[in-house]
Amino acid sequence: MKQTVNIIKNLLLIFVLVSIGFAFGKYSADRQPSALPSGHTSETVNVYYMHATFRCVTCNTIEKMTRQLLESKYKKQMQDGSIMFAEVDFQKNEQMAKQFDVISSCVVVARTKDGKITVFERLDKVWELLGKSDEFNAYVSSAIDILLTTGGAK
Amino acid sequence: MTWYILASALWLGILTAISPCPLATNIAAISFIGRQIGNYKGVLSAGFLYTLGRTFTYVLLGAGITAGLLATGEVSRFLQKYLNEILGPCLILLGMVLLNMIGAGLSFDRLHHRMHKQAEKSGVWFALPVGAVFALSFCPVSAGLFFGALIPLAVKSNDYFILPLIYGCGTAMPVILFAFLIAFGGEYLGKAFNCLTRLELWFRYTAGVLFILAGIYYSLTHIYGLSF
Repeated sequence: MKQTVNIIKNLLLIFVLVSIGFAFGKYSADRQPSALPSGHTSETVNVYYMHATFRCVTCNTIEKMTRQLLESKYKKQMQDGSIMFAEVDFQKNEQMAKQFDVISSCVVVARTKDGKITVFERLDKVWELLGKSDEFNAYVSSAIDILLTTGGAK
Repeated sequence: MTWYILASALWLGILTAISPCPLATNIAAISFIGRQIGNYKGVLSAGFLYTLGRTFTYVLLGAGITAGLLATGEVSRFLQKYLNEILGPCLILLGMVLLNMIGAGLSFDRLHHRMHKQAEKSGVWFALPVGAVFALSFCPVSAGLFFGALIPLAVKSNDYFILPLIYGCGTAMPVILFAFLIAFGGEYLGKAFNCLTRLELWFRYTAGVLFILAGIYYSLTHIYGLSF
């Protein structure tokens, strides 16, 4: 019994040490900042779902609700390419995380021209509206509609 | 400040606690606080200190952000990136302490006895740093609700102390409630089956095992990037 406890104890200590080493090693490796996933050369409205590397259940719900809204209300614009959707890991893409000053997983709507973001809005309230799909859709839609109508993509 | 704003802060806290995202740390905290079955004073003190630790973190962060010392986005991303990685190994080591795997062997007879008594006594005080560190380890939900909803609410209502404090209490409330249910349910069982002492030991070990499991889960998901 004592021997088993000792083996478990040593295994756990090895796991702790290896994990600490792995975490340090991960950050000392070179990291290239990735480019903005804009894709188009003309003017578009881009809807980004920003998430951390660790994907939680609630975060996946936000992405699902956003995708559903785009596929139902903005089907035509999604097909003709005037609205584009992309999911971005903000812990890997630090350039975008800094540009949007991302706090946590959220939705960002941005207008891009020739691949460059000209104006954007970060939608932090998605967290509070999770259980209220109508209010969630109205909140995200109004941000998209403003960008669609105030120039650029149409 | 209206009651509506105060209630909103409390609700945001409860919403944070009941979401699946911080489940692993919440289960660990429940087992940690509720492990002293039958010891009403101990459970109450640990629950209070855990809440105090959490609110201390939130008030400090809120004050730092509003004083302009910390940038909301930067601090949120920093804590989400690094704190959760530190938490995994820390939880494993703390679990090993609870299981007497480490810590106890460092002392000799008399010293050991004294240290053991001291550890039992200070075990309650551990709830304070555990609360503070668990609050610092932001998962996407707590980061979104604290930095994205509570801080803007605090800025709007010009209150940087009461609202983070109420939010902290909200995040601890469900945890303490479950800890109480387990502690008193355990006592009832122990008395009914006349095995309270054995059950006490068993609860302490369960807390240790849960800390280790939560630590392994945090290490696998946050350090090694595995998803379940």
